Amino acid sequence: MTDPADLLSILEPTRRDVVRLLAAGLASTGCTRSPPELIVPYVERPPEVVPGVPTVYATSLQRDGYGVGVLAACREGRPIKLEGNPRHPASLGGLGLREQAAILDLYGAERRALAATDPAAALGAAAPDGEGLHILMPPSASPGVLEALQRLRARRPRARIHVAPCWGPAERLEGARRAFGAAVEAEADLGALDVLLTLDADPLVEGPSALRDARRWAAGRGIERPTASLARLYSVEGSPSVTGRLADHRLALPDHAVGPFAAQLLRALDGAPPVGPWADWLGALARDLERHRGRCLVRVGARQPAAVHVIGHALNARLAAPVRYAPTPLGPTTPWRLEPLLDALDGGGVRCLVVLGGDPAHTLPADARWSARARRASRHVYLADAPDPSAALATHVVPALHPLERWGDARAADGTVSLVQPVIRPLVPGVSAETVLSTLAGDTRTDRARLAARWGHLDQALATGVLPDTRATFEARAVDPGAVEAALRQVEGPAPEGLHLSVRPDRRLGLGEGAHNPWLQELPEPVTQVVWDNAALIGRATAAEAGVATGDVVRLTRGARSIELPALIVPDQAEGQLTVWLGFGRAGVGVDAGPLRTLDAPWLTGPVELASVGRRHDLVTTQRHHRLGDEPPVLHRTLDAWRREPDFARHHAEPPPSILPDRLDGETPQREGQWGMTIDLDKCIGCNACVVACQAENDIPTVGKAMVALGREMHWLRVDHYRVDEGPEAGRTLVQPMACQHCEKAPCEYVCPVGATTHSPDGLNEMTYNRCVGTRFCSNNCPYKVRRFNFFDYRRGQPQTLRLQANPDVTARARGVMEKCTYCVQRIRRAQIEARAEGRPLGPAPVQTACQQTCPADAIAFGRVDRADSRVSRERRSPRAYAALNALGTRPRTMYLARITHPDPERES
Amino acid sequence: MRSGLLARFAGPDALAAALTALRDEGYARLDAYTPCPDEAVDAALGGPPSPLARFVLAGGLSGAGLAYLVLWWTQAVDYPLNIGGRPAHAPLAYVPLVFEGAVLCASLTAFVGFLLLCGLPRLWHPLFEVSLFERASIDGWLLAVDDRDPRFDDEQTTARLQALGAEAVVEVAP
Amino acid sequence: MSEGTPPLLIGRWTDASLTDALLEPTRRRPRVLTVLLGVTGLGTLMLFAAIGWTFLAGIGTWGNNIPVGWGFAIINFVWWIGIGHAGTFISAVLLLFEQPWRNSLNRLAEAMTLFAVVQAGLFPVLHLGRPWFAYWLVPYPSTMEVWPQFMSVLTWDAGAVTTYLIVSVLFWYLGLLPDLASARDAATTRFRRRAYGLFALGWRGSVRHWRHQRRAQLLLAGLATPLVLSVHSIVSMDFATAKLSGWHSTIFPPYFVAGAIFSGFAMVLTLVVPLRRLFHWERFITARHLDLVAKMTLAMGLLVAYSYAAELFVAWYSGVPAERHLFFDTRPLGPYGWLYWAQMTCNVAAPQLLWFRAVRRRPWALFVLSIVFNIGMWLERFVLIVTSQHRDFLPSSWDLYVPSLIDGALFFGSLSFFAFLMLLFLRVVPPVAIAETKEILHERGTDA
Repeated sequence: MTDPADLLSILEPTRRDVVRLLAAGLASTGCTRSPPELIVPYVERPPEVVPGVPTVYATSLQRDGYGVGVLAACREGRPIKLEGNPRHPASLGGLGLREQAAILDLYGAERRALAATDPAAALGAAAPDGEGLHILMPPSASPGVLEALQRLRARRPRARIHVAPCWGPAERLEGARRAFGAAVEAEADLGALDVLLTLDADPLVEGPSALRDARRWAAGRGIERPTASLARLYSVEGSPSVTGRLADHRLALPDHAVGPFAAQLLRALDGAPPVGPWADWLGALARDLERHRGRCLVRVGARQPAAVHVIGHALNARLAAPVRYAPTPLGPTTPWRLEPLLDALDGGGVRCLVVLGGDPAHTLPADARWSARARRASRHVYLADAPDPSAALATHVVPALHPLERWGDARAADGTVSLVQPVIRPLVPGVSAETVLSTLAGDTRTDRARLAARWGHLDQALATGVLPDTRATFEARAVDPGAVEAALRQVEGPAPEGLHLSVRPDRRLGLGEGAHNPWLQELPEPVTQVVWDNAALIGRATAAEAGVATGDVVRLTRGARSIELPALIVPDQAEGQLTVWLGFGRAGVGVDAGPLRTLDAPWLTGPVELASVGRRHDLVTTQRHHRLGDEPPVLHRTLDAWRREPDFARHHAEPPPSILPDRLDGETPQREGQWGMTIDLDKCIGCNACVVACQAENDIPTVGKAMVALGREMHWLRVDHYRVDEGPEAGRTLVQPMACQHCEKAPCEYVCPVGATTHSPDGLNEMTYNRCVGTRFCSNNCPYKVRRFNFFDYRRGQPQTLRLQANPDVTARARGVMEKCTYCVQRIRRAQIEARAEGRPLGPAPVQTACQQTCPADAIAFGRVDRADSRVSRERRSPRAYAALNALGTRPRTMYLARITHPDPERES
Repeated sequence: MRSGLLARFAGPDALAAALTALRDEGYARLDAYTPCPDEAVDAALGGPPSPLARFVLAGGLSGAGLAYLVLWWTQAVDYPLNIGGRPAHAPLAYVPLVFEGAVLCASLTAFVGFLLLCGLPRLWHPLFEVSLFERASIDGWLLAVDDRDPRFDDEQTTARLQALGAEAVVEVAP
Repeated sequence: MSEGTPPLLIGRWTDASLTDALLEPTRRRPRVLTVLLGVTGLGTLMLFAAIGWTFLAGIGTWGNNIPVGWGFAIINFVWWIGIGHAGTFISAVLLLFEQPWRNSLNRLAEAMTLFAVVQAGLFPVLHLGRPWFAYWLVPYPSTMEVWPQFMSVLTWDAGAVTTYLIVSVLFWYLGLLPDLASARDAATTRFRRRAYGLFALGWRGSVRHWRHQRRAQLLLAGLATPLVLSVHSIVSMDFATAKLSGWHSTIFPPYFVAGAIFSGFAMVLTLVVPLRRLFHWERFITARHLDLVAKMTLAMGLLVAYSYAAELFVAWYSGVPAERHLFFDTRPLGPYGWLYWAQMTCNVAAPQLLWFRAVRRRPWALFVLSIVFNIGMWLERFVLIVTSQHRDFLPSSWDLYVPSLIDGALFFGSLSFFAFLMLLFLRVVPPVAIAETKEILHERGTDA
C-alpha cells in the first residue's frame, strides 16, 4: 500500500511520459511519438517511483460486470502484476484466472491496431432528444455507468438502452424476480455448510462471488483431525465442472434434465416418492438434505432457465438454507431484451447505434443476424477492446480503455463499491464506456471529476480500493409460492430424448473477451486440459454409439445451421449431451458455436444431429495420461477411512533412510529462513488461477499449440488431473498442482555437469540460467517433470509491447536453457532485503508466492519450515501431510495434504 | 647410426645370424633395420629392454594425483556448493575421472616417451640418402655398423659382412 | 596351427609382394569407392547443414520434449561409441592376449574406432541447448570463478570420451608409423613420398625403434583395455546414476560394454566383408578371420542376451512397481513395443544363427547379420533411452517422442560422415597393417 498522496500524483504527466518511453514499441502505433530528448529518464525522479521498488495501486476489474478489487503492482511506471485486494469482498485477496490474465490484455498487440477516433465527433450526430439513438451495452454494476445512463435518459428521453440477455445473468435475475419479486443477489457462507448441492452450477469459479465462495468453501475444509466434520458436495450437471469434479456424489444429467431433477427433488422433500432412473440417487440426496436442514444450500447455474432458479430458491427456502438476499447492483434496470433493438434495426429507425463493447457480431446467437442488421444503422459507433468482427461493422470505431488506464467504479455483488483508477497512461487513444455515455448525456467532465463528485474525498478509498460502508443489507426473503407452482409446471414433464447441445462461456475466454490473450489460450482448460481449441464434449457411450473418437471432426446440425468441430470424449459427460465452449472462432482459434444458438435458447440450445465428417483435428491437451500410477502422487481417503486409519499418510511423509549425511541439517550452518510449501489438496479446487499467476509473475512465455502438442509447454506450475481407477472411489478425479518440489536431496542437481542447478543455504533448488548449457539431464532425472526447457527462443517475434509486462526482478532466460519454479525467489529476496533494511527479523511467513497469493481457495501455504509457528510448519505436521513420490528419497520441501472426501455413508453401504 | 656400413641380408634369419656373429666378434655399435619386428633379430642385437614401462607408471600415477587434486580443490575448497544435499568432497564420485586422468597421462607419457627414446620426429637422416635403405621398410633386412665402433674397419668389416651373407654392403656418409 | 583350421594368410608371399598388395588400396581406387565417396560427401554436407540449422534455430528443431529430454542425439552417441569399442577391443585386448589373427584386422578396426568416436563426440555437444558453451565442462580457471560439477556423470563422460579419443589416436598412430614409412618408401610420386614421409616422422625401422614401439604399443594396449571398459561403463552411468526406472540399474556397466563390443564386431563385419571382396583381401583377411570375428560376435551377443534376462529378473525380483511397470508393460506393450520386439529379434534371436558354421563361413550371411545386429543395437539404445523417459513416475507427464526430420538428417548424416571418413582413410592409409601381416608371414615361415 502506498501513501494516498502518492496515489493522486499519478495524474501528473511526468511519470506517464516516462511510461510512454518505456513503451517504445508503441511508437509505431499511431500513438504519440516521443521527442528524442525525453529518452533520458528520471533526470528528476518522480517522488513516488523508486527504481526497483514496486508501487502498488488499488483498483478494480470487472467480472461479468461486477467489480473485483485488485492491487496493481507497477515497476518504473509499468503495471506488471495484478493481485486480489484482500479488503475487497469479492476477492479477499484471491484472483481467478481471467483477472490474473487481464494484465496482458493491457499490452495486447491487437489494441494497437485501433486508430484514434474522437468520440464527441462520432457521437455528435445523435438527435437532441435521442430519437433513433440506440445503445447496446453489456450489463454493468458500475455506479458511474449507471448514473451516466440516467443522465442520458434525462437528456435524451427517446434514446433506447438495450442489453443482450446472454451477456449477463439474465436467467438468474429473472428467477429471483419471479421468486422474490426483485432482482436480488444471494449470499451464503459456503464454509459453514453440511451439504451443498449444485445444479448445473460451478459456484467455486463462476459468477460474481466465486472468489469469495471458493475462499469460504475451502475454509470449511482442510481439517486436521478425522474427528472434525466436513461438508458434503453433490453435483448434478451435464458436463463436468470445476466444482462438480470435487463432488462427493455427482450425477451426470443432461443440462436440460437438471430442471426436472430439481423439481422432483422439491417434490421429494415434500414427501412425494421419487421416480425415474435417478430415483435412488435423488431419494438418498433428499434424505441427506433433510438431515442437514438449516445447514445445506442449493446453487443453480446461471445458464439454467429462470424457472429452475425459482425452484432452487424454493429448495433453499424448504431446507431453511442459511442464505440472505440483497438487490443486485447490476444494471441497467430496463428489461434485458434484444428484440426491440433488432426490430428497430429492421424498421430502419436506428439513426445512431452505439455499442459499448461485447463484440455482438461474435457473441450474439445466430438468429440475431447481427452482422446483417447492424449495417442498417445509419451511424454505428463501436467501443472496441480489439479489432474484432463487430468493429468491422461499425462506421466509427472508438478504442476502449483498459480498466488499468481509466477512472471509474464498480460494485461487487454485495454492493461494495471499489474504485477503478488508472495505473498507466493509456496505451491507446481510447475512452471509457462511462465517457461515451456521459458525452451523449452532455456531461463533459472527466471520469475522475465525476468520480470525485459522486463519492467525495477519494484519498482513503484510493488507498484501500474500497469505499467503506457501501455494502448492501442482506436479509431473508420469502419465496412466492405461486411462482414456485408456475415454475414446477413449466419444468416438469418427460425429459426430451435425443442428443442435446449445451453451450457455455469458456472458463478462460468467456464469450470471447480472452480470445486475444495468449496466456488464456495456452492455459489448459481447467477440466479437460485442452489448449488453443474448443471441442464438442461428448460422453463415452454417446461417442461409441456415433462411432466418434476424440479428435474426429463432427458436424453438429440444428435446423438449417451446422458447425464442424472436433469431438472430445469426456468421461464424466452426461450421455445424450454435447457441450461446446463459446468464445472461440475468433483470432483463428477454435470454432464458434454461435450458429447453433438462438435468442430464445442461448445456452441449452436443444436437439442437434451429430455426424462424423471423416476428418481429424489435433486436439492438444497438456496431460495425456490420467491413471493414478503404481506409486500414487495423490493421497486421498474418505473421512470414514481416515477415521479407521488416522496415520495413513505417515510412511509417505517420513524420509526414507540414506547412507549419506544430511547436509542441510548437518554440516552447513543454517541460514535464517528455510523455505517450504504445503498445498492442501482438500482445499485446492483446480481452477488454474495459480498457473496464470505464475506465468504473469515469472515471465513465462507462451509457445503455441504446435509446441504444446510436442510436449514443450513452459508453465512452471501445472495442475495434474488423476482418475482413481479402482477401489470405492473409482471414477473420482483428483487434482494436484505440481511445480518444483525443491527437494533437499534434489536428483536434478547432482547430474548437472556445470553446476547450473544447486541448492541455496535456505533450501531452495536454484537454477543459474546463465550457467546452464542445456543438457536436459536435470529434467530427465526429475521424477516430477517440473522443469521446462527453452527449446526455441520463444520470445522472438512476440509483440514488443508484451515485454512491458515483464517482471524486472525475474531473470530472462535464453534459448537452450532450463527453467522451473523458483518459489518466487525474487519475492523471498525482497522480503529479506526489506527485513534487513528495517533491522527486524523475518517473520514465520514473510512472503507469499504468486500462486499462493492468487489462490482463491487459499490452498497453498508458504513460509519458513524452521519456524514451528508458521502455517507451513503446522501443515507439515498434519496427519494428512505427505511428500509426493516419497519413496524416492528426494525429501521435497513442498508437501501435500491429502484429499479427504466425505461420501454419504448411507450410499456406501 | 650416423655413418658407417649398411649391409642387406636375405631375411630375418640371415640377419640374426650375422648380428650374433658380429657381436661375438666384439662389435658393439651395431644396429639393424627390419620391415617388421622380429624376435630373433631383436635377441641377436641385444641391449637393454625399453624403459617405457617405468615412465608410464610415473605418468599414470601423477595423472591420477593431478586429477584428484583438481577434483578435490575445485569441489571442496575453492567453490563448494550444495549439490543435492551431497557432501562437497565426494571421493566415490571422483573415481571415474581419476582413472581417466591416470590413463590419459599414462598414454601421453607412453607416446611422448616413445618419440623421445626413438629420437623422433626426425624427418632427415643420413640413412635416407642411401639407396639401399630405400626399401628398408618394405623388405630390407639391414645391418648397420657404426664407424665409431672400436672394431670398425672399413674394408675388414665390409668383407666380414659379405662373408656373413650380406647381399649388398654400402657406405653411409654423414 | 592344427590341421583343419584355415590359415590366417593364404598364398606364397614375399615381404615385397605383401607390401605391394597391402599398399594397393592407396594407389588403385575402385570407381565404386569414388562414387561412394561422393555420395557420402553429400551426406556429410547434409549433416553439417543439419548441424548449422540446429545451431541457428535451437534444438527445438529436434523431436525432444519434456519428458523425453534425450532423444536421437544420445541414442546415436551411445551407439557410435559402442561401435568404436570393438576396434579397441581387437587391437588392444587381442594384442594383450597375443591373438595373431588380429594383425590383419586391427588397422581397419582402429580406424573404425576413431571415426566412430568422432561421430559419437559430435552428439553430446550438439544436443546441448547451448552447444557453444560445451567447454564449460572442462575445469579451467574462468572469470566466472566456477568449476564444473564433478559429481555429474556428464563430466565423467566428457573426460572419458576425450581420453578415449586421444588414446585411440595415439594407439592408431603408433601402429601406423612403420606402415607410413613403408608407404613413404614405396611412394611413386614425390608428393606422396613427402607427405607420407612427413607423417612417418622419420621412422627407420631400427630394431631399437621396434623395441620401443612394441613396448609402447603393449603399454597403450594395457591402458586401452581398462579404458575401453571404463568408457562404456561411464557412458552406461549416464543412465545408471539417474533415478529413472530402466536407467537406475547396477548391471549397466558390463551390460553396456558387452553391447558395445557386440555392435562393434558387427560393424567390423559390415566394413570388412565388402572391402575384402573389393580389394581381394581374401588371402590375408581369410575365412578364418571372419569365423573368429563371428564367434566373438556370438559370444558378445550371448552376453547381451544374458543382460536382458538379468534386467528383467531384477525388475521382477525388486518388486518396485515402477520397475515392474516399465519392464513388463511399458517396454513390451507400450507405444514403442514394436521397437522392443524388433530389438529382441535382432539382438537375441538373430545372433543364434552364428552357432552354425555354415553361416560363419558365408561372408554375405555375416554381412547381412552384421547389419541386423547394428540395427538391433541402435534399437536397444532407443528403447532404453526413450521408453524409460516417456513414461516415468508421474503419469501426468507421460508423453510420446517423435523424432523430427532434422533428427533423421543428423543420424543419416553421421552415418555418411563415418563412411566418408572411412573411404578417405582407405585412400591414404594402408588399411591392413603391413608390418603386422609381415610378422604373420615370418612366423609361418619359422613354423614351417
